[in-house]
Amino acid sequence: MFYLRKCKLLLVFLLLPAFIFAALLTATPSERPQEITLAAARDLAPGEKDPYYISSVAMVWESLIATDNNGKIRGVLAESWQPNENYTIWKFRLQQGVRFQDGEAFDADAVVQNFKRWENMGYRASSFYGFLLARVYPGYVGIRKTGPYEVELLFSTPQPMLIYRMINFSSSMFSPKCFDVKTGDFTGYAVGTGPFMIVDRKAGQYVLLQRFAGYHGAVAKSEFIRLVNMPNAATRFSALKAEEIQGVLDIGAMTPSLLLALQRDPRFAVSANRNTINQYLTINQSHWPFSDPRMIRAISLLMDRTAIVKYYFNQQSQPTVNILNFCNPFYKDLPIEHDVPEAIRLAHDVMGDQVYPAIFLIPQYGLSRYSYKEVAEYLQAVFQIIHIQARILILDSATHARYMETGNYDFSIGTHGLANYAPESFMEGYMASWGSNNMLYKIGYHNDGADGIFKELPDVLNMNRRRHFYADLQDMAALAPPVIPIDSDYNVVVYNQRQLSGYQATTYGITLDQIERQ
Amino acid sequence: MKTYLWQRLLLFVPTLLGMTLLTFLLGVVSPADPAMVVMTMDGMSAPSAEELLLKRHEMGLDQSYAMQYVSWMAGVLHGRWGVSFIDGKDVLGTLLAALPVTLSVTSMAIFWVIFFSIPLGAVMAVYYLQWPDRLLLLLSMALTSVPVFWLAIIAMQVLCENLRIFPTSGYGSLRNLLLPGLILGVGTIGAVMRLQRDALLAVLADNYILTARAKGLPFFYIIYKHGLRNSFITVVTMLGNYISGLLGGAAIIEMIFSLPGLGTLVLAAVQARDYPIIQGYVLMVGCMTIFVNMGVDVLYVLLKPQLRLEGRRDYDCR
Repeated sequence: MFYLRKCKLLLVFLLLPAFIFAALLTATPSERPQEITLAAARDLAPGEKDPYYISSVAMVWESLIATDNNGKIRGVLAESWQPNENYTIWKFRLQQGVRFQDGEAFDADAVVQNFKRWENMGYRASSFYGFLLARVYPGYVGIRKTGPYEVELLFSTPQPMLIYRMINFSSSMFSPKCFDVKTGDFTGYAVGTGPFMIVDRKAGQYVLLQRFAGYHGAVAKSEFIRLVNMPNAATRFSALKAEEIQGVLDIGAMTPSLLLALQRDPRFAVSANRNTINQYLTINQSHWPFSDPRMIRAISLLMDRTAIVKYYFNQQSQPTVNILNFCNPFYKDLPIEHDVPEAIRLAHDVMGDQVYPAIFLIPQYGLSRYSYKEVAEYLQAVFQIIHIQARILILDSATHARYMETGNYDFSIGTHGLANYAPESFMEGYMASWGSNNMLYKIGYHNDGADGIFKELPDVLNMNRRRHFYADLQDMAALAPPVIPIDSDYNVVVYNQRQLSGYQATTYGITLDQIERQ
Repeated sequence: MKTYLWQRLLLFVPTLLGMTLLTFLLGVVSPADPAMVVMTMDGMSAPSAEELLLKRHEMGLDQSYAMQYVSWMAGVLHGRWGVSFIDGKDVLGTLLAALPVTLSVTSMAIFWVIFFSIPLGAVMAVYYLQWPDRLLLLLSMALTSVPVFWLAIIAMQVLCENLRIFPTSGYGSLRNLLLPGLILGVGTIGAVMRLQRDALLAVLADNYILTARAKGLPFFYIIYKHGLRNSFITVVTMLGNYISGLLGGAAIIEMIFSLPGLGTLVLAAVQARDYPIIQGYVLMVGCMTIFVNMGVDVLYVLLKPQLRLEGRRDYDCR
């Protein structure tokens, strides 16, 4: 006993972990048993400096104009709109009786304040969509209030496609009390008019949403939803299996291989919907042999898109040869072409029997979201048929961008989404000789027909004529692609069907207001 | 002792300056243009040349490299560590928000290291060359060799997914830290086990241990009171180095367990070429490493009183 008394520290050392374990391994019951926890691969609420504070997925804010799942334009906070005859003034009539979550009224003054914020804040980066007023609203001159629920947007040049530009993120509305109009920063939690409001947030960890009882539409079915940030796909998978979370959402919610594993477990269900992202193969067309359009066509014909979608995207996308995403209302359905003999013939006409060593880039961000490595290896194999020996390089995003900027590549696989539904805002970037993507990534694409249309488009006010032009551009891009489309993505989400109901994927997000615990 | 600490503190300044300069140079020679990274981070936008020029000016990238470095260092000395290129947030605030998470995970790892490796190392020394020693030696080698990310995935599947003992992710309670801390510390546990074994064996061979045994003191008491304490000096010296390693190694663990610590922050910053965050991280972790090593030195002297006496003797001689 004497010696044991001398060893008090040893006893403490042995007993302390026992106490800690006893306390820790007794899980504390949740404060809100009905709370739903969902996980995303990125922080859905980046906070004060982000132009939107929180993703539209969270349904905290609403926009003036949005789209439904069929790509149809619909007014949300804007009830109706009317342009003048030359499309330089757009009059918007606003919904009445709508209130922000802080009790402030949504009216013309609120809309004016939101536009003033954009005027002052300059370019704002965001992991959702970067915002620059001049880019989203080209030719913007100002806004004026013409009634308590009526505003007019003024432009220096005709803007016939304005409402297609204003969808979703581009016309998000916040309570003027929650932001600094001079800097554009949020001064606290973002306050919108949506069915959920933010009640708690830990940067980089989670955001807790509570149902907004004063919502102007049908109120949300669940009172509390927690959106947590889990960057690692394997962790999201384990958290789903351990039932710590009830579902996953947002871009790259689950990799195709993990999705297959989850589909074998009867507890989980998958929901998919078309989204605005396309997968593309960018080819540096500024040098031989790819400067010859026959070579680009050969590569396009060589790809078996249906097999790529079947084997590498787990059928969670749709093969396409159209540069424009299928969500766009001006999208034209084009037949999928796969003709290996013709591809070989075209390539032989250009290259003869020469062997061309090529550099194939994969951006690292894509590896955790898509099966880019497998797709690249498949393409590497089929390119050998036309004597192209591609060397695959996996690069971090910044280095990848640098390689592309300097034209130090032959192929690069990547995604591109639609920030809005005006087709030229996407197509001009790639198809016009002066297009920003075309120039920035040294694609070297030149098409006189496309250049002519893009020069003419700003003056075309007739919507039918524009529709024809958009169709022509899609045909031109299919025949002589600036980038080779592979597939149009689906927004794929997984949830625990024994615990949740009403969980459906939408174009951008899920039916958050419809989900509830079983 | 005081003179020694002052000397260490003075060395601290050129070390930090060198570190910041190296970090800055890394930013300079790295391939990407931060303005471009910021303006294309949504994967949708392609900025025009004018927009890029404006952004470069706004970010101060149109200044000479020397000016950029000097203005950054001047800001650091005034507590302004700059703003993140990506989200525009204050660097110091962002780092300070993430620091407690990394410190918690690292502390938990150190707790596990001490909790497992000291007693197991002692057992190995006591049963030297017998089967417990051989078995634990094998275990220690396995622990040192196993890749942390693999172990994390396996542990997550077994302990979180199947047995549901620990949560898979998140931060907020000690329960969230137990498993990440253990996984982070596993390699160090293996190394310290062997270190403790060898250190204790050396102490047990000393004459005063033989004297204690001859006096009839119980063996466990001799080990606890005389053996372990004297063998700690070697372990504590090395623990300083291990802590620096743990701080760096925390990045992958934080990523896997979705812990919003410095590691997660800097990994994202490296991906996005967010130089202000990377520079701030190097500065902060560099300071921490230097302070940890200084703390170890102090502990070393406290554990070995004759060092203090020797120091005083030296002083008296002078």
